[in-house]
Amino acid sequence: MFEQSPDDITKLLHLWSEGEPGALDRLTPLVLRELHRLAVRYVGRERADHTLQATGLVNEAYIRLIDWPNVEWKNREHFFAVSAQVMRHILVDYARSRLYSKRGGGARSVSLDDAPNLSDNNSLASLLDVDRALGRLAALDPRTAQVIELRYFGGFTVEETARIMGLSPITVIRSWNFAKAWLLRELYGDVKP
Amino acid sequence: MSPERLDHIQTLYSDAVALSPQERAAFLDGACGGDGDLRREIDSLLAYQPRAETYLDRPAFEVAARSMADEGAHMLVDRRLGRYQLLSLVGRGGMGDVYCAVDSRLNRLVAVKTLPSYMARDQEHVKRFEQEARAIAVLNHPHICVLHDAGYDDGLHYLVFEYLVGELLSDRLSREAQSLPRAMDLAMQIADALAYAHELGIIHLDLKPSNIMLMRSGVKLLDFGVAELRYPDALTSSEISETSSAPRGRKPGTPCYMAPEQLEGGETDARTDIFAFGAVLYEIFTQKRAFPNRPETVSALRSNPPSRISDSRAGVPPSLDLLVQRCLALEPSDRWQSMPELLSRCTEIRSTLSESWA
Repeated sequence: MFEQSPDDITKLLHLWSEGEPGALDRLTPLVLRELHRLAVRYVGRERADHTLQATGLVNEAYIRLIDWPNVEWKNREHFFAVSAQVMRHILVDYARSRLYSKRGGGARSVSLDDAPNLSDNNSLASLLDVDRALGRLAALDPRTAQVIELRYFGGFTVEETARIMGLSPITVIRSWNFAKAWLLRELYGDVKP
Repeated sequence: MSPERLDHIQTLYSDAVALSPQERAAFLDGACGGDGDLRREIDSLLAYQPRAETYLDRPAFEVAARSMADEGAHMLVDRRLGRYQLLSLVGRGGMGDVYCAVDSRLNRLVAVKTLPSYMARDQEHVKRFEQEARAIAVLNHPHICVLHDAGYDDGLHYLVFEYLVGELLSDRLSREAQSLPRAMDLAMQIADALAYAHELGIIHLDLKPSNIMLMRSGVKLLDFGVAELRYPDALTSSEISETSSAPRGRKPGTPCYMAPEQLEGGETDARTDIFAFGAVLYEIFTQKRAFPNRPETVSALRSNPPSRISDSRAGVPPSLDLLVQRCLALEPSDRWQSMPELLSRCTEIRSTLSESWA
């Protein structure tokens, strides 16, 4: 399906991690196309029918995006960390472009200005919220922030995240749970218990 | 805040979360000592703990794809697929989106159903898809929605059906109860359509109230054979299981109406439709689902057998209870074996229901 083979994507990720900025521009359409394929599949699924909404789709999209077994880098962990960063860049750019373009040239989205809507954790606005708050967490605790980056933006499982970061799964789970509470508090402010 | 401080907060937070809410206060009193700031910090994080549990439960990639999906469905409006100009989105369902469209050659309204684009793997698949569609297009019956055309354009497979104006059975049932004779008439029309298609070797595989349209002229079954067509045999079963959490090889359908063999990805035949027919019948008479809990497995079906129709509806003859029960038998060999046999039983029961039962 890809005009470029996964191998090319792997090379592009490699280039990007070496500081070649043009690589991201070439990666973006490939990721968006994969996103679009996934989107079309969601459209094709009955919304009420959760049983056929497979979380496996995301993994599958990811697997196709990159020729994982052929990543022959000495430092695979670094490669995975880089791909999570790339995904974050691309998805955040995508979310921004969607939210801003809807309101016409450069207008800020209401959902960014107003108090975020707690009920909708799965909107593009909430994706941008995570990105923003995660930047602040990274300044305090880069390691905990990376857990979120790998899990949420990279789509990696607890076990994969543990392997990539050289941590135990239990540590990843603790950091993940803590960071989520921290991000929520950062976004929605202190609530009096 | 120093990294060490945050690390300490994280440790205490995690330890506190592992305790019951009653134990937490005592634990934190001890652990924080007199450090009021530390205590407040942890308490304010714990306040978000319940929400944090489900927060970020979908990866960003999926969030973006879903939002794209929501927009994408509307983007096809005003576009052309083949000789069909799409006018408006009229429905979204398991088999794809449905648009009202104009057939520019015959200048008439049609319903265009788009299918997920991932089906277009290669020329071989496209050919196979069109073959399957031709098989379905053979169906010509007053109670089956006619398939006019099938095509592939701009990365999308689509099916073109006759344009129907009516009310879905699912909507009708949520609105009002059907009198017993009326309910039986609907059942007979559905059975008649199924019997006809089965004779031609085509099974529906996704019969449910939202696939049945009520019109002035009677019922119309929608999406006949489309469940099968979406995943023609050329799509290997491994491909299906990769893309869904359903058991390997399972043909897509709707769990509330799926026979055990379909749930398990086994062989399906006319008796699979008979099971679904029983579930639909149950719903027509009771306005309740026979299997309300989205059974995922056969053991779930077995452990929650539907109650009798007569339990929720007065005036239902025992013969109808038995008929539905036999449709819903878990073993295909325990069900009615053919639709004509079932249809004639329906006809017999109908004759015992005078209009006064209504």
